[in-house]
Amino acid sequence: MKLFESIVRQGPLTTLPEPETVRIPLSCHRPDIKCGQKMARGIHIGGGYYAPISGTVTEVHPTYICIKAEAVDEPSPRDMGALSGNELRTALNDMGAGLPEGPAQTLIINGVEPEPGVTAFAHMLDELSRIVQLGLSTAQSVFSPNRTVLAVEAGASQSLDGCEKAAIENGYPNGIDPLVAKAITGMENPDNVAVLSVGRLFELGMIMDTGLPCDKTVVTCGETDFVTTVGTPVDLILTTAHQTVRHGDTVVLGGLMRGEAAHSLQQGISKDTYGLFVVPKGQYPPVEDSPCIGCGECIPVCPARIDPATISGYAEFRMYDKCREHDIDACMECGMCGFFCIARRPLLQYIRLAKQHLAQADTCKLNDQGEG
Amino acid sequence: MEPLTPTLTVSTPPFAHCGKTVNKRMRAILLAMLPAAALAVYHFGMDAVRVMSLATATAVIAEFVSDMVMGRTSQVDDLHGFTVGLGFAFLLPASAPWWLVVFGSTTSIVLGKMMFGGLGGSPLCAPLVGWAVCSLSWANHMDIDAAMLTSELTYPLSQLKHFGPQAVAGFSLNDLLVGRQLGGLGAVQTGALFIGGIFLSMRKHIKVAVPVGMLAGVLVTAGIFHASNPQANAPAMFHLLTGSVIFGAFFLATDSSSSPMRKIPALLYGLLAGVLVVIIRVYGVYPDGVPYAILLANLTSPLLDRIKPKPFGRN
Repeated sequence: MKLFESIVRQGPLTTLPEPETVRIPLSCHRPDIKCGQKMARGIHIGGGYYAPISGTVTEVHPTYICIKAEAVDEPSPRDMGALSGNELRTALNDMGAGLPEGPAQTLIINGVEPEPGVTAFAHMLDELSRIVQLGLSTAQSVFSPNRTVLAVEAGASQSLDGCEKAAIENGYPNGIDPLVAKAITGMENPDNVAVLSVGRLFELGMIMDTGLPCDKTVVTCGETDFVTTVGTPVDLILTTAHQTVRHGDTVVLGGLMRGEAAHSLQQGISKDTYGLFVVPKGQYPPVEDSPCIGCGECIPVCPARIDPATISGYAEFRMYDKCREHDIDACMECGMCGFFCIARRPLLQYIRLAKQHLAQADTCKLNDQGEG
Repeated sequence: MEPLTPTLTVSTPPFAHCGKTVNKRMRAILLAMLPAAALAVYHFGMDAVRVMSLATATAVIAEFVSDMVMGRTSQVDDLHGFTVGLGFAFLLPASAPWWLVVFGSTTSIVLGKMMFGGLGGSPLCAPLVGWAVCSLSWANHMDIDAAMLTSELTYPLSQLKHFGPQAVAGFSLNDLLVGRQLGGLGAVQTGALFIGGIFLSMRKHIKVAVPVGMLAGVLVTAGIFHASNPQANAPAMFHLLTGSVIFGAFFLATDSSSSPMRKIPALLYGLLAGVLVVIIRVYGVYPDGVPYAILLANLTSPLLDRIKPKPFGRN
């Protein structure tokens, strides 16, 4: 795979028809929902997930719920046009937007494709510009920035009205939020800066446009970008994109560097899924439970300038405090370390595991202090 | 027949990979050592074949047995054990007796690698551990001069040590480059090793900062000694092309687990090893200072690894 090449857009944007059945992925939430229950579009399921279509709940699983399309009386959409400032932010967050806090002097719109091989953002800017533009004015109303900058890859033609444009050097991981913020402001983790991706603007625009939580996402699959309904089974998108999946292949939701492997072809996509890839069995050497050989390949490629080799070693032996001493907090989870690891260690997984343990430990500590 | 619903492989990100693996790296290193091995056979004949085959076979078996004793799945197929064995053979005189080769190769693997948990755990470069144990235990058999009985070649570093720089003025750089000198049977094939080392650097299989630092360290230190007293010290190029300097710089000092990981520490580590080589050669009792210089530098790498930049977002 070529990591350091600028992405060329292929094919027009295609809208997939609404699927008969959707599976909405949930991460470890126990929704207060029963089988057979009628569900209207836009209803909150739990944990920031909303029903993307109206229908009957046919299956409730710890990781997803399944809704079969059926006509159901829908609640009237909320009129978002009259709101502004903090009211608007609260309303948007109520619909699952999850915006960062506070006003910001600089609002950065990250239009750099999130992963190699994804072209969804360029398509949104080109062909869904009305929605994205609506999202931009909404974000401006929420953050009231002095300066709004659209970050795009060097050589990209896309633009947004009311935005300065900044070119970001081609190649992953230059387009991830902290690095884009640094390229534009010159500072690392600057204060008073909010970074929203073009995908997020699309979500805001959809909420404003429909008065309902966003139930569409643009997914790159194969040669085409699809506008799809959240919860659409992976199977359906792959078939439409003429992608064949064979026994033993890996299907990746999101991107090849940071995404998540699908466990089933019936699995639905989430609103943050921007890409869908099939990695044929045997294309890359398999991940192994092998020791770090200290080659140092992961170190020069780490944009956070930390030492993934040492951190993963500590995580491997559950010495999570040591991970913090070695600045695991600075990690941006770009996956570059794992890409270059010649021992094929699951470096990003070790880092995510350690981060999760540390976060849990911190929560316990806070609770203890609260009780004491 | 494939099942109708394919079973997916669930794995962890990243789902793409640059394609380099330990096995491929070891194959590249072996490929880079191949010209030197061929020249060794050309100069030393079947003795070189004998030592190299014995050392590699012993190393592979020793690693496999160690894994069995420790109850682990053997990773001997990653070729690292084979590489260590060949590296150890390169340091031996062609005249080394069979038991010395077997003992040293086993020691390299067991003491130098497996004791520390296998590949990646060792704080010292494995072939040098075997070399150090053998050269302390059987100094006579490890003595390169002993090999002179079976060869018409001479050992330039020993001549320098005993007879001064005038004695080695006759060595042409060309002779040294094509390996017309005694020393470790593979380690003295300096020209071939240099080509191999450049190949590894270009394919990014080794940290270039290490050989750059080490060669610079040798050249500068030897240059200073030579400039200060040309009567007592050999020129810098002589030091560079004799003994195992090139072999050490590209193949031993770059050993992944025992060298620092970042660029600046790796450069300092290489420099330190290079300076120590010349200091040992000038003041020490060993004609070739390379193995001990690298072993000493190995000990500093955890310390050097503490030189690191500030993480992203820290002031």
